[in-house]
Amino acid sequence: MSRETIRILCVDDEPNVLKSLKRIFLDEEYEIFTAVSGEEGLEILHEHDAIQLIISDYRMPGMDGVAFLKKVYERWPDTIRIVLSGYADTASVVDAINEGHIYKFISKPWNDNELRVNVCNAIER
Amino acid sequence: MNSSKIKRDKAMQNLVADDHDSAVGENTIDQLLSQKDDLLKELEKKTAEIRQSEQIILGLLDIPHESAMLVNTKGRILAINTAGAQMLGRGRDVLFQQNLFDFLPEAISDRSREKFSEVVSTRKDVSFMEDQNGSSLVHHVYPVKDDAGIVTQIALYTRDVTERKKAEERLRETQKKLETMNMELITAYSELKSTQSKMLQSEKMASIGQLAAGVAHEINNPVGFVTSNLGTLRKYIDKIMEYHSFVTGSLSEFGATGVLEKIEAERKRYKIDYIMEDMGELIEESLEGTARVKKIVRDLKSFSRVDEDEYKAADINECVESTLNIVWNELKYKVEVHKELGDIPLIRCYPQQLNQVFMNLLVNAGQAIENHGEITIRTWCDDTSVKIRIADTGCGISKDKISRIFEPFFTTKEVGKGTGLGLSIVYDIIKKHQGDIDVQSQEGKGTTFEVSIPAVQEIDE
Repeated sequence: MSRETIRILCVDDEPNVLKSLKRIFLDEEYEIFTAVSGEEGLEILHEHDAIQLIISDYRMPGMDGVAFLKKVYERWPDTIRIVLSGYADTASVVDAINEGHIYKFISKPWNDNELRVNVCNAIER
Repeated sequence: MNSSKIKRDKAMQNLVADDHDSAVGENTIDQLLSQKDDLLKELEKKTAEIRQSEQIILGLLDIPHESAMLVNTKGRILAINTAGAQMLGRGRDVLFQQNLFDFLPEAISDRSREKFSEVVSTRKDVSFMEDQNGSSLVHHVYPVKDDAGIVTQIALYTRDVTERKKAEERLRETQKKLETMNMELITAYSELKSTQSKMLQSEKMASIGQLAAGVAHEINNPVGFVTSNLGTLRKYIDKIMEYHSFVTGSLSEFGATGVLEKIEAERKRYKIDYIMEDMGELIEESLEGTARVKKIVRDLKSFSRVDEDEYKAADINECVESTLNIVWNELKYKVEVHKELGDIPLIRCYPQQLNQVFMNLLVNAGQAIENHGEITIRTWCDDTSVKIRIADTGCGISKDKISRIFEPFFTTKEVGKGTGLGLSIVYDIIKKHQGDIDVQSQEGKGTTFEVSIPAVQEIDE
Protein backbone atom coordinates (compact mmCIF):
# COMPACT_ATOMS: atom_id res chain seq x y z
CA MET A 1 0.00 0.00 0.00
CA SER A 2 1.42 3.25 -1.12
CA ARG A 3 -0.04 5.48 1.51
CA GLU A 4 -0.70 5.17 5.15
CA THR A 5 -3.89 3.43 6.30
CA ILE A 6 -6.61 5.94 7.00
CA ARG A 7 -7.73 5.91 10.60
CA ILE A 8 -11.33 6.76 11.39
CA LEU A 9 -12.92 7.18 14.82
CA CYS A 10 -16.66 6.64 15.21
CA VAL A 11 -18.38 7.86 18.36
CA ASP A 12 -21.97 6.93 19.20
CA ASP A 13 -23.65 5.80 22.41
CA GLU A 14 -25.44 3.07 20.46
CA PRO A 15 -23.04 0.10 19.84
CA ASN A 16 -25.21 -1.21 17.00
CA VAL A 17 -24.68 2.04 15.11
CA LEU A 18 -20.92 1.68 15.62
CA LYS A 19 -21.02 -1.87 14.29
CA SER A 20 -23.04 -0.78 11.27
CA LEU A 21 -20.57 2.00 10.54
CA LYS A 22 -17.72 -0.46 10.76
CA ARG A 23 -19.47 -2.73 8.28
CA ILE A 24 -19.96 0.11 5.78
CA PHE A 25 -16.22 0.51 5.49
CA LEU A 26 -15.50 -3.21 5.32
CA ASP A 27 -14.31 -3.01 1.73
CA GLU A 28 -12.30 0.13 2.33
CA GLU A 29 -8.74 0.06 3.59
CA TYR A 30 -9.63 2.05 6.67
CA GLU A 31 -8.78 1.33 10.24
CA ILE A 32 -11.93 1.96 12.25
CA PHE A 33 -11.90 2.86 15.93
CA THR A 34 -15.12 3.07 17.93
CA ALA A 35 -16.10 4.77 21.16
CA VAL A 36 -19.45 4.83 22.99
CA SER A 37 -18.89 8.30 24.48
CA GLY A 38 -17.05 11.54 23.85
CA GLU A 39 -14.80 10.82 26.85
CA GLU A 40 -13.81 7.44 25.43
CA GLY A 41 -13.32 9.07 22.05
CA LEU A 42 -10.83 11.55 23.53
CA GLU A 43 -8.92 8.70 25.20
CA ILE A 44 -8.62 6.89 21.90
CA LEU A 45 -7.40 10.07 20.20
CA HIS A 46 -4.75 10.42 22.88
CA GLU A 47 -3.64 6.81 22.52
CA HIS A 48 -3.53 6.62 18.75
CA ASP A 49 -1.76 9.09 16.56
CA ALA A 50 -2.89 10.21 13.17
CA ILE A 51 -6.60 9.63 13.35
CA GLN A 52 -7.72 11.62 10.36
CA LEU A 53 -11.49 11.58 10.49
CA ILE A 54 -14.06 11.52 13.24
CA ILE A 55 -17.73 10.68 12.88
CA SER A 56 -19.67 11.57 15.98
CA ASP A 57 -23.25 11.38 17.15
CA TYR A 58 -24.75 14.64 18.41
CA ARG A 59 -26.92 13.53 21.29
CA MET A 60 -25.09 11.41 23.81
CA PRO A 61 -25.26 11.07 27.55
CA GLY A 62 -22.45 12.96 29.26
CA MET A 63 -20.46 14.95 26.76
CA ASP A 64 -22.54 15.71 23.68
CA GLY A 65 -21.24 15.64 20.14
CA VAL A 66 -20.58 19.36 19.86
CA ALA A 67 -18.67 19.54 23.14
CA PHE A 68 -16.64 16.52 22.08
CA LEU A 69 -15.84 17.87 18.62
CA LYS A 70 -14.98 21.27 20.08
CA LYS A 71 -12.35 19.60 22.26
CA VAL A 72 -11.11 17.62 19.29
CA TYR A 73 -10.84 20.80 17.25
CA GLU A 74 -8.81 22.52 19.98
CA ARG A 75 -6.36 19.62 20.39
CA TRP A 76 -6.33 18.11 16.88
CA PRO A 77 -7.44 20.87 14.54
CA ASP A 78 -6.36 18.99 11.42
CA THR A 79 -8.86 16.18 11.90
CA ILE A 80 -11.92 16.07 9.69
CA ARG A 81 -15.05 16.14 11.80
CA ILE A 82 -18.44 14.84 10.74
CA VAL A 83 -21.62 14.85 12.81
CA LEU A 84 -24.04 12.00 12.29
CA SER A 85 -27.25 12.71 14.14
CA GLY A 86 -30.94 11.94 14.25
CA TYR A 87 -31.53 15.14 16.10
CA ALA A 88 -31.25 17.74 13.40
CA ASP A 89 -32.81 20.95 14.55
CA THR A 90 -31.39 24.22 13.35
CA ALA A 91 -29.77 25.10 16.66
CA SER A 92 -27.76 21.89 16.87
CA VAL A 93 -26.47 22.28 13.32
CA VAL A 94 -25.43 25.87 13.98
CA ASP A 95 -23.67 24.82 17.18
CA ALA A 96 -21.85 22.01 15.48
CA ILE A 97 -20.64 24.21 12.65
CA ASN A 98 -19.49 27.09 14.85
CA GLU A 99 -18.11 25.28 17.84
CA GLY A 100 -16.95 22.00 16.39
CA HIS A 101 -15.86 23.42 13.01
CA ILE A 102 -17.35 20.40 11.35
CA TYR A 103 -16.94 19.35 7.78
CA LYS A 104 -20.38 17.85 7.35
CA PHE A 105 -23.63 17.30 9.17
CA ILE A 106 -25.23 14.01 8.14
CA SER A 107 -28.63 13.13 9.51
CA LYS A 108 -29.78 9.74 10.67
CA PRO A 109 -31.00 7.46 9.26
CA TRP A 110 -28.09 7.79 6.90
CA ASN A 111 -27.59 6.50 3.42
CA ASP A 112 -24.59 4.16 3.29
CA ASN A 113 -23.38 5.30 -0.11
CA GLU A 114 -23.71 8.95 0.74
CA LEU A 115 -21.75 8.44 3.92
CA ARG A 116 -19.06 6.48 2.08
CA VAL A 117 -18.74 9.13 -0.60
CA ASN A 118 -18.59 11.93 1.95
CA VAL A 119 -15.85 10.21 3.92
CA CYS A 120 -13.93 9.43 0.77
CA ASN A 121 -14.13 13.00 -0.50
CA ALA A 122 -13.15 14.41 2.87
CA ILE A 123 -10.05 12.29 3.05
CA GLU A 124 -8.93 13.13 -0.45
CA ARG A 125 -9.43 16.79 0.05
CA MET B 1 -131.66 68.08 66.93
CA ASN B 2 -129.73 67.18 70.04
CA SER B 3 -131.17 66.59 73.43
CA SER B 4 -129.73 69.71 75.06
CA LYS B 5 -131.63 71.91 72.60
CA ILE B 6 -134.94 70.16 73.38
CA LYS B 7 -134.30 70.78 77.05
CA ARG B 8 -133.58 74.43 76.38
CA ASP B 9 -136.79 74.91 74.35
CA LYS B 10 -138.75 73.33 77.09
CA ALA B 11 -137.18 75.70 79.59
CA MET B 12 -138.06 78.66 77.35
CA GLN B 13 -141.68 77.52 77.16
CA ASN B 14 -141.70 77.31 80.87
CA LEU B 15 -140.28 80.81 81.08
CA VAL B 16 -142.96 82.25 78.79
CA ALA B 17 -145.73 80.52 80.72
CA ASP B 18 -144.35 81.96 83.92
CA ASP B 19 -144.82 85.47 82.48
CA HIS B 20 -148.50 84.79 82.10
CA ASP B 21 -148.87 83.25 85.39
CA SER B 22 -146.78 85.07 87.92
CA ALA B 23 -148.45 83.03 90.56
CA VAL B 24 -146.06 80.34 89.80
CA GLY B 25 -143.82 82.87 91.49
CA GLU B 26 -140.21 83.10 92.42
CA ASN B 27 -139.91 79.42 92.89
CA THR B 28 -140.17 78.90 89.18
CA ILE B 29 -137.56 81.52 88.34
CA ASP B 30 -135.09 80.00 90.72
CA GLN B 31 -135.85 76.64 89.18
CA LEU B 32 -135.29 78.03 85.73
CA LEU B 33 -132.04 79.71 86.67
CA SER B 34 -130.69 76.57 88.13
CA GLN B 35 -131.84 74.66 85.03
CA LYS B 36 -129.98 77.19 82.88
CA ASP B 37 -126.80 76.67 84.90
CA ASP B 38 -127.15 72.95 84.45
CA LEU B 39 -127.65 73.39 80.77
CA LEU B 40 -124.63 75.65 80.42
CA LYS B 41 -122.51 73.20 82.35
CA GLU B 42 -123.71 70.40 80.17
CA LEU B 43 -123.02 72.47 77.06
CA GLU B 44 -119.51 73.18 78.24
CA LYS B 45 -118.98 69.51 78.95
CA LYS B 46 -120.29 68.45 75.53
CA THR B 47 -118.21 71.08 73.78
CA ALA B 48 -115.13 69.80 75.56
CA GLU B 49 -116.06 66.28 74.58
CA ILE B 50 -116.51 67.30 70.97
CA ARG B 51 -113.24 69.18 70.95
CA GLN B 52 -111.51 66.18 72.44
CA SER B 53 -112.95 63.76 69.91
CA GLU B 54 -112.16 66.25 67.17
CA GLN B 55 -108.61 66.36 68.42
CA ILE B 56 -108.45 62.56 68.50
CA ILE B 57 -109.73 62.41 64.96
CA LEU B 58 -107.36 65.15 63.85
CA GLY B 59 -104.53 63.40 65.61
CA LEU B 60 -105.42 60.27 63.75
CA LEU B 61 -105.74 62.14 60.50
CA ASP B 62 -102.78 64.43 60.85
CA ILE B 63 -100.11 61.99 59.96
CA PRO B 64 -97.28 63.53 57.99
CA HIS B 65 -96.65 62.39 54.41
CA GLU B 66 -100.18 61.10 54.00
CA SER B 67 -102.97 63.39 53.03
CA ALA B 68 -106.44 62.42 54.19
CA MET B 69 -109.79 64.02 53.43
CA LEU B 70 -113.43 63.27 53.55
CA VAL B 71 -115.55 64.60 50.72
CA ASN B 72 -119.13 64.11 49.68
CA THR B 73 -119.89 62.37 46.41
CA LYS B 74 -119.76 65.70 44.57
CA GLY B 75 -116.30 66.44 45.88
CA ARG B 76 -117.13 68.99 48.57
CA ILE B 77 -114.50 68.84 51.28
CA LEU B 78 -115.94 67.88 54.66
CA ALA B 79 -112.69 67.29 56.45
CA ILE B 80 -109.04 67.53 55.52
CA ASN B 81 -105.76 67.08 57.35
CA THR B 82 -102.70 69.29 57.21
CA ALA B 83 -100.85 67.18 54.67
CA GLY B 84 -103.95 67.26 52.48
CA ALA B 85 -104.19 71.03 52.66
CA GLN B 86 -100.48 71.29 51.85
CA MET B 87 -101.00 69.06 48.85
CA LEU B 88 -103.74 71.34 47.57
CA GLY B 89 -101.66 74.40 48.40
CA ARG B 90 -104.26 76.16 50.62
CA GLY B 91 -105.05 76.58 54.30
CA ARG B 92 -107.38 74.11 55.90
CA ASP B 93 -109.93 76.83 56.76
CA VAL B 94 -110.10 77.99 53.16
CA LEU B 95 -110.64 74.49 51.85
CA PHE B 96 -113.42 73.50 54.18
CA GLN B 97 -116.69 73.13 52.29
CA GLN B 98 -114.94 73.92 48.98
CA ASN B 99 -115.02 71.55 46.04
CA LEU B 100 -111.90 69.40 45.85
CA PHE B 101 -111.95 69.29 42.06
CA ASP B 102 -111.50 73.05 41.87
CA PHE B 103 -108.04 72.69 43.36
CA LEU B 104 -106.81 69.90 41.18
CA PRO B 105 -105.18 70.18 37.73
CA GLU B 106 -107.68 69.36 35.02
CA ALA B 107 -106.31 65.97 34.01
CA ILE B 108 -106.15 64.77 37.57
CA SER B 109 -109.52 66.15 38.53
CA ASP B 110 -111.11 64.32 35.57
CA ARG B 111 -109.48 61.12 36.60
CA SER B 112 -110.46 61.55 40.24
CA ARG B 113 -114.04 62.24 39.27
CA GLU B 114 -114.05 59.01 37.30
CA LYS B 115 -112.68 57.06 40.25
CA PHE B 116 -115.18 58.68 42.65
CA SER B 117 -118.17 57.70 40.53
CA GLU B 118 -116.68 54.22 40.23
CA VAL B 119 -116.51 53.95 44.02
CA VAL B 120 -120.06 55.29 44.36
CA SER B 121 -121.46 52.76 41.90
CA THR B 122 -119.39 49.72 42.93
CA ARG B 123 -119.27 50.65 46.63
CA LYS B 124 -115.76 49.24 46.64
CA ASP B 125 -112.48 50.99 47.25
CA VAL B 126 -110.04 51.66 44.43
CA SER B 127 -106.42 52.74 44.27
CA PHE B 128 -104.67 54.60 41.53
CA MET B 129 -101.34 56.13 40.89
CA GLU B 130 -100.42 59.39 39.36
CA ASP B 131 -97.20 61.13 38.39
CA GLN B 132 -97.25 64.84 38.72
CA ASN B 133 -94.39 67.33 38.45
CA GLY B 134 -91.82 64.67 39.11
CA SER B 135 -93.52 63.25 42.17
CA SER B 136 -95.46 60.05 42.33
CA LEU B 137 -98.69 59.89 44.29
CA VAL B 138 -100.73 56.87 45.27
CA HIS B 139 -104.42 57.50 45.92
CA HIS B 140 -106.68 55.18 47.88
CA VAL B 141 -110.38 55.94 47.55
CA TYR B 142 -112.73 54.39 50.14
CA PRO B 143 -116.54 54.54 50.10
CA VAL B 144 -118.27 55.75 53.28
CA LYS B 145 -121.77 54.26 53.41
CA ASP B 146 -124.89 55.28 55.30
CA ASP B 147 -127.12 52.83 57.16
CA ALA B 148 -128.83 51.84 53.92
CA GLY B 149 -125.48 51.01 52.37
CA ILE B 150 -125.56 53.94 49.97
CA VAL B 151 -122.26 55.69 49.43
CA THR B 152 -122.70 59.21 50.72
CA GLN B 153 -119.16 60.24 51.36
CA ILE B 154 -115.76 59.35 50.12
CA ALA B 155 -112.53 59.08 52.07
CA LEU B 156 -109.45 59.88 50.06
CA TYR B 157 -105.96 59.04 51.23
CA THR B 158 -102.99 60.13 49.22
CA ARG B 159 -99.41 59.24 49.83
CA ASP B 160 -96.34 60.69 48.15
CA VAL B 161 -94.24 57.68 47.06
CA THR B 162 -91.67 59.64 45.06
CA GLU B 163 -88.85 58.78 47.43
CA ARG B 164 -89.87 55.17 47.61
CA LYS B 165 -90.08 54.99 43.84
CA LYS B 166 -86.71 56.61 43.50
CA ALA B 167 -85.29 54.14 45.99
CA GLU B 168 -86.91 51.31 44.08
CA GLU B 169 -85.49 52.71 40.88
CA ARG B 170 -82.05 52.88 42.45
CA LEU B 171 -82.47 49.34 43.71
CA ARG B 172 -83.51 48.18 40.27
CA GLU B 173 -80.53 49.93 38.75
CA THR B 174 -78.20 48.39 41.28
CA GLN B 175 -79.74 45.01 40.62
CA LYS B 176 -79.40 45.53 36.89
CA LYS B 177 -75.78 46.51 37.35
CA LEU B 178 -75.22 43.44 39.48
CA GLU B 179 -76.87 41.27 36.88
CA THR B 180 -74.71 42.78 34.13
CA MET B 181 -71.64 42.29 36.25
CA ASN B 182 -72.71 38.76 36.96
CA MET B 183 -73.19 38.10 33.28
CA GLU B 184 -69.77 39.58 32.59
CA LEU B 185 -68.30 37.30 35.20
CA ILE B 186 -70.03 34.29 33.70
CA THR B 187 -68.77 35.23 30.23
CA ALA B 188 -65.29 35.88 31.57
CA TYR B 189 -65.36 32.58 33.38
CA SER B 190 -66.41 30.64 30.32
CA GLU B 191 -63.84 32.47 28.24
CA LEU B 192 -61.24 31.65 30.82
CA LYS B 193 -62.33 28.05 30.77
CA SER B 194 -62.14 27.86 27.00
CA THR B 195 -58.79 29.68 26.93
CA GLN B 196 -57.47 27.34 29.56
CA SER B 197 -58.53 24.27 27.67
CA LYS B 198 -57.14 25.69 24.45
CA MET B 199 -53.92 26.40 26.29
CA LEU B 200 -53.94 22.87 27.62
CA GLN B 201 -54.55 21.63 24.12
CA SER B 202 -51.80 23.72 22.58
CA GLU B 203 -49.52 22.78 25.45
CA LYS B 204 -50.38 19.19 24.72
CA MET B 205 -49.61 19.73 21.05
CA ALA B 206 -46.34 21.44 21.97
CA SER B 207 -45.30 18.60 24.23
CA ILE B 208 -46.39 16.07 21.62
CA GLY B 209 -44.12 18.01 19.26
CA GLN B 210 -41.19 17.82 21.65
CA LEU B 211 -41.93 14.20 22.31
CA ALA B 212 -42.09 13.50 18.60
CA ALA B 213 -38.77 15.21 18.02
CA GLY B 214 -37.21 13.18 20.84
CA VAL B 215 -38.85 9.96 19.73
CA ALA B 216 -37.81 10.66 16.15
CA HIS B 217 -34.21 10.78 17.31
CA GLU B 218 -34.59 7.52 19.17
CA ILE B 219 -36.24 5.86 16.19
CA ASN B 220 -33.67 7.22 13.75
CA ASN B 221 -30.86 5.42 15.55
CA PRO B 222 -32.24 1.88 15.17
CA VAL B 223 -33.65 2.67 11.74
CA GLY B 224 -30.19 3.93 10.82
CA PHE B 225 -28.33 0.83 11.77
CA VAL B 226 -31.04 -1.59 10.60
CA THR B 227 -31.04 0.04 7.16
CA SER B 228 -27.29 0.10 7.04
CA ASN B 229 -27.04 -3.50 8.20
CA LEU B 230 -29.54 -4.63 5.59
CA GLY B 231 -27.38 -2.98 2.95
CA THR B 232 -24.32 -4.69 4.32
CA LEU B 233 -26.20 -7.98 4.50
CA ARG B 234 -27.06 -7.65 0.83
CA LYS B 235 -23.41 -7.27 0.05
CA TYR B 236 -22.54 -10.22 2.28
CA ILE B 237 -25.12 -12.35 0.53
CA ASP B 238 -23.76 -11.41 -2.88
CA LYS B 239 -20.36 -12.51 -1.70
CA ILE B 240 -21.65 -15.75 -0.22
CA MET B 241 -23.64 -16.50 -3.38
CA GLU B 242 -20.58 -15.94 -5.52
CA TYR B 243 -18.56 -18.12 -3.23
CA HIS B 244 -21.32 -20.74 -3.28
CA SER B 245 -21.51 -20.91 -7.04
CA PHE B 246 -17.74 -21.16 -7.15
CA VAL B 247 -17.82 -24.06 -4.69
CA THR B 248 -20.66 -25.88 -6.49
CA GLY B 249 -18.97 -25.27 -9.81
CA SER B 250 -15.66 -26.64 -8.53
CA LEU B 251 -17.40 -29.60 -6.95
CA SER B 252 -19.27 -30.59 -10.09
CA GLU B 253 -16.03 -30.35 -12.00
CA PHE B 254 -13.81 -32.20 -9.62
CA GLY B 255 -16.02 -33.81 -6.98
CA ALA B 256 -16.57 -37.52 -6.42
CA THR B 257 -19.93 -38.84 -7.62
CA GLY B 258 -21.13 -39.97 -4.19
CA VAL B 259 -20.32 -36.65 -2.57
CA LEU B 260 -22.09 -34.68 -5.28
CA GLU B 261 -25.31 -36.65 -4.85
CA LYS B 262 -25.16 -36.20 -1.11
CA ILE B 263 -24.67 -32.46 -1.52
CA GLU B 264 -27.59 -32.33 -3.95
CA ALA B 265 -29.84 -34.13 -1.43
CA GLU B 266 -28.88 -31.74 1.38
CA ARG B 267 -29.41 -28.81 -0.95
CA LYS B 268 -32.97 -29.98 -1.53
CA ARG B 269 -33.58 -30.75 2.12
CA TYR B 270 -32.64 -27.20 3.15
CA LYS B 271 -34.45 -25.66 0.16
CA ILE B 272 -31.25 -23.83 -0.66
CA ASP B 273 -32.39 -22.82 -4.14
CA TYR B 274 -35.53 -21.22 -2.80
CA ILE B 275 -33.61 -19.47 -0.04
CA MET B 276 -31.04 -18.12 -2.46
CA GLU B 277 -33.80 -16.71 -4.59
CA ASP B 278 -35.85 -15.33 -1.74
CA MET B 279 -33.00 -13.71 0.17
CA GLY B 280 -32.77 -10.82 -2.24
CA GLU B 281 -36.50 -10.13 -2.00
CA LEU B 282 -36.42 -10.42 1.75
CA ILE B 283 -33.83 -7.72 1.96
CA GLU B 284 -35.57 -5.49 -0.55
CA GLU B 285 -38.84 -5.77 1.40
CA SER B 286 -37.11 -5.03 4.68
CA LEU B 287 -35.39 -2.01 3.18
CA GLU B 288 -38.73 -0.80 1.86
CA GLY B 289 -40.10 -1.16 5.39
CA THR B 290 -37.33 0.91 6.92
CA ALA B 291 -37.75 3.50 4.19
CA ARG B 292 -41.39 3.82 5.22
CA VAL B 293 -40.49 4.19 8.86
CA LYS B 294 -38.02 6.88 7.83
CA LYS B 295 -40.73 8.76 5.99
CA ILE B 296 -43.21 8.54 8.84
CA VAL B 297 -40.63 9.84 11.29
CA ARG B 298 -39.72 12.65 8.94
CA ASP B 299 -43.35 13.69 8.52
CA LEU B 300 -43.93 13.46 12.23
CA LYS B 301 -40.96 15.70 12.81
CA SER B 302 -41.90 18.20 10.17
CA PHE B 303 -45.46 18.25 11.45
CA SER B 304 -44.74 18.72 15.08
CA ARG B 305 -41.44 20.51 15.32
CA VAL B 306 -42.19 23.27 17.75
CA ASP B 307 -39.36 25.60 16.87
CA GLU B 308 -40.58 25.79 13.32
CA ASP B 309 -43.85 27.38 14.28
CA GLU B 310 -42.88 30.71 12.88
CA TYR B 311 -44.58 33.10 10.55
CA LYS B 312 -43.15 32.43 7.13
CA ALA B 313 -43.96 31.88 3.52
CA ALA B 314 -45.26 28.37 2.95
CA ASP B 315 -46.83 26.25 0.29
CA ILE B 316 -50.33 25.25 1.36
CA ASN B 317 -50.26 22.27 -0.98
CA GLU B 318 -47.19 20.99 0.84
CA CYS B 319 -48.95 21.49 4.17
CA VAL B 320 -51.91 19.49 2.90
CA GLU B 321 -49.65 16.70 1.63
CA SER B 322 -47.63 16.39 4.80
CA THR B 323 -50.77 16.45 6.95
CA LEU B 324 -52.38 13.84 4.77
CA ASN B 325 -49.37 11.60 5.37
CA ILE B 326 -49.88 11.90 9.10
CA VAL B 327 -53.57 11.07 9.10
CA TRP B 328 -53.28 8.52 6.35
CA ASN B 329 -53.39 5.65 8.84
CA GLU B 330 -56.79 6.75 10.06
CA LEU B 331 -58.16 7.09 6.58
CA LYS B 332 -56.65 4.44 4.36
CA TYR B 333 -58.97 1.54 5.15
CA LYS B 334 -62.26 3.27 4.49
CA VAL B 335 -61.60 6.43 2.57
CA GLU B 336 -60.68 7.16 -0.99
CA VAL B 337 -58.88 10.48 -1.06
CA HIS B 338 -59.04 12.67 -4.15
CA LYS B 339 -56.58 15.49 -4.38
CA GLU B 340 -57.14 18.42 -6.69
CA LEU B 341 -54.29 20.64 -5.65
CA GLY B 342 -54.24 23.75 -7.77
CA ASP B 343 -51.49 26.12 -8.71
CA ILE B 344 -51.38 28.44 -5.73
CA PRO B 345 -48.85 31.00 -4.57
CA LEU B 346 -46.84 30.75 -1.37
CA ILE B 347 -48.52 32.62 1.43
CA ARG B 348 -47.13 33.94 4.65
CA CYS B 349 -48.61 31.93 7.52
CA TYR B 350 -47.93 29.70 10.50
CA PRO B 351 -47.54 26.43 8.58
CA GLN B 352 -47.61 24.21 11.70
CA GLN B 353 -50.88 25.73 12.74
CA LEU B 354 -52.40 25.33 9.31
CA ASN B 355 -51.22 21.72 9.40
CA GLN B 356 -53.26 21.36 12.53
CA VAL B 357 -56.27 22.90 10.82
CA PHE B 358 -56.02 20.41 7.97
CA MET B 359 -55.40 17.54 10.35
CA ASN B 360 -58.46 18.32 12.45
CA LEU B 361 -60.64 18.72 9.36
CA LEU B 362 -59.33 15.51 7.80
CA VAL B 363 -59.68 13.48 11.00
CA ASN B 364 -63.24 14.75 11.40
CA ALA B 365 -64.00 13.91 7.78
CA GLY B 366 -62.62 10.42 8.32
CA GLN B 367 -64.66 9.94 11.47
CA ALA B 368 -67.81 11.08 9.69
CA ILE B 369 -67.41 8.24 7.23
CA GLU B 370 -68.60 5.03 8.80
CA ASN B 371 -67.90 2.31 6.30
CA HIS B 372 -66.58 3.59 3.05
CA GLY B 373 -66.52 7.00 1.49
CA GLU B 374 -64.57 9.70 -0.25
CA ILE B 375 -62.71 12.79 0.82
CA THR B 376 -61.94 15.41 -1.78
CA ILE B 377 -59.28 18.00 -1.07
CA ARG B 378 -59.20 20.93 -3.44
CA THR B 379 -56.95 23.97 -3.38
CA TRP B 380 -57.17 27.02 -5.59
CA CYS B 381 -56.82 30.74 -5.36
CA ASP B 382 -58.42 33.96 -6.46
CA ASP B 383 -57.01 37.48 -6.53
CA THR B 384 -56.89 37.93 -2.81
CA SER B 385 -56.80 34.59 -1.09
CA VAL B 386 -55.93 30.92 -1.12
CA LYS B 387 -58.81 28.49 -0.69
CA ILE B 388 -58.87 24.97 0.62
CA ARG B 389 -61.95 22.82 0.41
CA ILE B 390 -62.23 19.52 2.24
CA ALA B 391 -65.39 17.61 1.38
CA ASP B 392 -66.45 14.23 2.72
CA THR B 393 -69.27 11.85 1.90
CA GLY B 394 -69.88 11.09 5.57
CA CYS B 395 -72.89 11.27 7.84
CA GLY B 396 -73.27 15.05 7.72
CA ILE B 397 -74.23 17.46 10.49
CA SER B 398 -77.84 18.17 11.46
CA LYS B 399 -79.21 21.70 11.09
CA ASP B 400 -79.58 22.31 14.81
CA LYS B 401 -75.97 21.39 15.45
CA ILE B 402 -74.23 23.09 12.56
CA SER B 403 -74.38 26.52 14.16
CA ARG B 404 -72.62 25.23 17.23
CA ILE B 405 -69.77 23.18 15.81
CA PHE B 406 -67.16 25.90 16.29
CA GLU B 407 -68.09 26.37 19.95
CA PRO B 408 -65.48 25.07 22.33
CA PHE B 409 -66.52 21.82 24.07
CA PHE B 410 -69.34 21.17 21.64
CA THR B 411 -69.06 17.64 20.37
CA THR B 412 -71.32 15.13 18.69
CA LYS B 413 -68.85 12.34 19.08
CA GLU B 414 -69.24 9.68 21.72
CA VAL B 415 -67.59 10.14 25.10
CA GLY B 416 -63.83 9.87 24.90
CA LYS B 417 -63.69 10.28 21.14
CA GLY B 418 -63.91 14.03 20.87
CA THR B 419 -62.87 16.83 23.16
CA GLY B 420 -65.10 19.34 21.42
CA LEU B 421 -62.00 21.44 20.80
CA GLY B 422 -60.91 20.39 17.34
CA LEU B 423 -63.05 22.77 15.32
CA SER B 424 -62.76 25.58 17.83
CA ILE B 425 -58.99 25.41 17.46
CA VAL B 426 -59.46 25.35 13.69
CA TYR B 427 -61.61 28.44 13.94
CA ASP B 428 -59.09 30.28 16.11
CA ILE B 429 -56.21 29.51 13.82
CA ILE B 430 -58.15 30.62 10.74
CA LYS B 431 -59.16 33.83 12.49
CA LYS B 432 -55.55 34.42 13.50
CA HIS B 433 -54.74 34.31 9.80
CA GLN B 434 -57.61 36.73 9.15
CA GLY B 435 -59.24 34.03 7.12
CA ASP B 436 -62.68 32.51 6.99
CA ILE B 437 -64.12 29.09 7.38
CA ASP B 438 -67.44 28.07 5.96
CA VAL B 439 -69.31 24.84 6.43
CA GLN B 440 -72.07 23.23 4.42
CA SER B 441 -73.61 19.96 5.31
CA GLN B 442 -76.43 17.69 4.39
CA GLU B 443 -77.38 14.92 6.74
CA GLY B 444 -76.57 11.54 5.24
CA LYS B 445 -74.81 13.12 2.28
CA GLY B 446 -71.67 14.71 3.68
CA THR B 447 -69.98 17.85 4.84
CA THR B 448 -67.82 20.43 3.11
CA PHE B 449 -65.50 22.83 4.87
CA GLU B 450 -64.07 25.70 2.91
CA VAL B 451 -61.14 27.60 4.33
CA SER B 452 -60.05 30.89 2.86
CA ILE B 453 -56.80 32.54 3.87
CA PRO B 454 -55.89 35.98 2.59
CA ALA B 455 -52.64 36.02 0.64
CA VAL B 456 -51.61 39.15 2.49
CA GLN B 457 -52.33 39.46 6.19
CA GLU B 458 -51.40 41.81 8.95
CA ILE B 459 -50.52 39.61 11.85
CA ASP B 460 -49.74 40.96 15.31
CA GLU B 461 -46.66 39.07 16.25
